[in-house]
Amino acid sequence: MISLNVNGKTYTLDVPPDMPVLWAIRDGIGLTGTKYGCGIAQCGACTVHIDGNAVRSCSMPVSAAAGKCVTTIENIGATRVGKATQSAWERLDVMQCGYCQSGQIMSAAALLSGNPKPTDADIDAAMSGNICRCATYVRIRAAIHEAAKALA
Amino acid sequence: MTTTHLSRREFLKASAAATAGLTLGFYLPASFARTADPGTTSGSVAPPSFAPNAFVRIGIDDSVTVIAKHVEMGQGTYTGLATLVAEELDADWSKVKVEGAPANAKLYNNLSWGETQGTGGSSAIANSYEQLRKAGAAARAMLVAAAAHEWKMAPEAITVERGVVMHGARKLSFGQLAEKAAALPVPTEIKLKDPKDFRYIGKQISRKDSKAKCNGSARYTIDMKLPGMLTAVVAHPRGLAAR
Repeated sequence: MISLNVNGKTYTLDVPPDMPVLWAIRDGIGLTGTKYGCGIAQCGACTVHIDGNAVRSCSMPVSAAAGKCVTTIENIGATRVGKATQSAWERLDVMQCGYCQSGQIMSAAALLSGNPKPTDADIDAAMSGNICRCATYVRIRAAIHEAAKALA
Repeated sequence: MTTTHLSRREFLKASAAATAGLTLGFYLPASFARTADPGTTSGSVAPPSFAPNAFVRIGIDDSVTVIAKHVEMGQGTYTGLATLVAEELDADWSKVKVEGAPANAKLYNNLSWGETQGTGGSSAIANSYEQLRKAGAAARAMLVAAAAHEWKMAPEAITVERGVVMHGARKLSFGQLAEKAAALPVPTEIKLKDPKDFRYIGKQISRKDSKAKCNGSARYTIDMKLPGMLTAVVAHPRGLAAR
C-alpha cells in the first residue's frame, strides 16, 4: 500500500512501488487529465508538479512520490499562477488536438512560479522538454507572456 | 498477460459488431422529447429540448447543442461545424455546445463519401457547408414561426439576434420558444443567408474545445473506460528475430 497526496487529497493505493506516478494517477486514482505520451521522459505530456517542481510522471516511481505533494492539471487552476496560465491558454486558443497541453500548461506554470517575467529565451529553455505534434509553439510562447502580464 | 489469437479480419468484424451495438436511434422529426444524450450509452435523461433535425437541439435553458458528425482531432471541426449552424440560427455563440454524433452512417455520413461516416481529407466543412446551414436555418424558421403564432402576426417582420427572437419591444428567447417550435412542421423550403450578412462564418470566434483541453477534462481514446473493457498492448520482441 502506498499513500499518495494528489491535489490536496491523500489516496491509499494498492500498486507496486515501481509503478510510475503517471499510472498511479491515471489508473489508481482515475485522474486522466495527465497524459501518457512516450513513457521515457522525452515528450513532456505526463508533466505534473511534485512539491511545485515540474516532473515527468511517466518516469518517476510512485514510491519516490510518497509523502510529497503531487499537483495535476485537474487542480492547477487552484493556484493563482495556474489559473492565469490556463486562462491565457484558453484566451489564445493555444491548443489544437490538445493531447500535450496538460503537460505544456504544467511546465509553463512551473516556469512562471519561479520566473514571473520570462524572456523568449527563458521560455524556450524551460519548455524544450514539452513536445507538441501540432506545433503550437508560437502560441504557447505568446500565452506564457500573456499569463506573465496578467500576473504582474 | 494472456495472448489471444485473433486474425485482423476477425478483429475488424468484432469491432464492427461492437460499433453497431452502440447505434442509437436519435432522429426526432420536430420533436420535443426527453432525449438520451446521443454521445453516450448511459441513457441518462437530458432536460426537454427541441430537436428539429439530427444536427441541432435547443434546450429550454436556451442552450443550443450542435451534433457534430465529424471527429475533432484538433483541426477545429467542432468549432467549424457549430459555426455553420449558429450562423443560420442567429444563435448566441456563448450558448452553443457541441456533442459528437453517435454511430449512424445514414444520418451522419460524409456527403462526399456516400453512406460512410468519416472524417478526413479536409472534407468536413466542404461537405457540411449547406447541410448544416440548412439545419440551422430550419430551426430558426420554426422558432420564428412559433413567435409569430404567439404574437399573432406574420413571421416576415420578426428578427432574430443572438438567441433572441424579437419584434419591436417584444422578445422571446430560443428556450422560451423551444416547446412551441417543436410542435410545428419542419419547413421544406429553407432560405439561407446572403453571405454579406454573416456574423460568424469567416470571422475569428473562440474554439469550442479549448476549455476542456486546458483543464484536463477533455477525454481521449486512452481515457475511456467501459464495463469489462480489456486493454491490449503489443508484445514487443526483445530483439531482432527473437522468438
